[in-house]
Amino acid sequence: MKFIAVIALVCSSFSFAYEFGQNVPEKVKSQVTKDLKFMKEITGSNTSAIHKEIFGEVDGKAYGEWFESRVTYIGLNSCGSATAVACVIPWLGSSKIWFTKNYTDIDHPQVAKMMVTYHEARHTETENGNWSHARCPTPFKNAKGEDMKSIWTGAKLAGEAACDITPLGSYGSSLILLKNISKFCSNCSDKVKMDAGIYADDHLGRITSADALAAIKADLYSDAR
Amino acid sequence: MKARHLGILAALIVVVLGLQVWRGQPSDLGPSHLGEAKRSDLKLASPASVPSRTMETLKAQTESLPSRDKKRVQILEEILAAKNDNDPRLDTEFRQMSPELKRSLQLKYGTVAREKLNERGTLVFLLGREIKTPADMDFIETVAKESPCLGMGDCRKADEVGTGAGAHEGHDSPEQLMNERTLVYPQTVAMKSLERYLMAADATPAMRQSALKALREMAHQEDKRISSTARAILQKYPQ
Repeated sequence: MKFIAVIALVCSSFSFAYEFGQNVPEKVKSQVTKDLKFMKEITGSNTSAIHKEIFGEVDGKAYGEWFESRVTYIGLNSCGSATAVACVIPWLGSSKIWFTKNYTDIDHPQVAKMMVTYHEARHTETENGNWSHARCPTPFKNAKGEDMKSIWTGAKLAGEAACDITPLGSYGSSLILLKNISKFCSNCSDKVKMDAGIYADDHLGRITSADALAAIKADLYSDAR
Repeated sequence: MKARHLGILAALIVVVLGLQVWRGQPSDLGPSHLGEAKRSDLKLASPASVPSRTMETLKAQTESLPSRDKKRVQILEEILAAKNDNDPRLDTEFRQMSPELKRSLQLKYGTVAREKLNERGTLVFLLGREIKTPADMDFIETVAKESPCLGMGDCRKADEVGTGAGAHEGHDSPEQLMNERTLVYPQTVAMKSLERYLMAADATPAMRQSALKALREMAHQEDKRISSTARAILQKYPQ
């Protein structure tokens, strides 16, 4: 009986673990594993309400479980474009995420890479329609009347499926994740917290619903926090 | 008849999906993109452009450091090689740096390939946290005013990647698009360093004015990634 319990425990501990594609070089595997380990070791002093709803507490264990209960496979793919960084290709497996050379070979800050990784993990949620992006309005301008542009590409976003109308979407959740790390991570280096804040703030422009923006600002951008 | 049409439609859908898989099409779930620039070789393009004199100066300068500072330089090399931004030693070993160590890190900044954006940004972060003298401030201001890296595979290729957010306005040139924030990461960190200095209790009025002046200049830069960040900081510090 004890033996069966041990087997069950071992099986359950592996059941959500991700694997790497055969074409992923050892060096890339090692770096991605290290980057994900960094997320799994985070401890937090506080958590915003929306973060709790999406990820649970600002806590490495929660981040690890959240990721590994969604992603079973990390592979390399062109994602159909020389410009892509990462993607989910549902018909190749809804729980698989794919990185391109632009992810693995470029010297991004570590927390920015994790932002992309968790963004793609959010896209694996088939039960939520994969949290597809909302189409940005046309014209799409900021408060200063300037065209809104992609943080990743610099492309004008008007009319593109590159926005979110909910804080729970893939962009919204990335913002919530980063801003919580920036504000509440208690064992992150000052650099990681600074980086998380920089990239989080860049995401604000992707939230096009006034209600969603107000909810995010109340959750994380009020002075009281 | 109706069933036959449905069958044909289903077969067509299967063929289209199959073709997309075969071609490696991305999902429409919003893959994150960099830019369309054809970069079959992502190897860094400009490390060799570092003048050998600079390398020699750095070597000589590092060798002349006291042993404690030499050890710190070694630690930094380890951290950068591991690409671990969350190494706690970034916060324990690089505070209260000696002027000599700062000089060594400044020289090192000049020897790191421009495409190593996070590495350069890390050096700026460490130096920007330790602004004590006008020379420290000068270095950070100089970095903040550096022209942006134009392409991640090669920072020099201005004609292929433009100068960022504002550069391709008015024409549809997706191959010129690139990762906005990471491309100006060292400059962004420098601006954040100036912001931190403005908040510092021990900021001197003269250096504070210098930081504000630099930020005001950057707020008028053509590159919107730089100007918008500078403006956001300046809004917090009304003069």
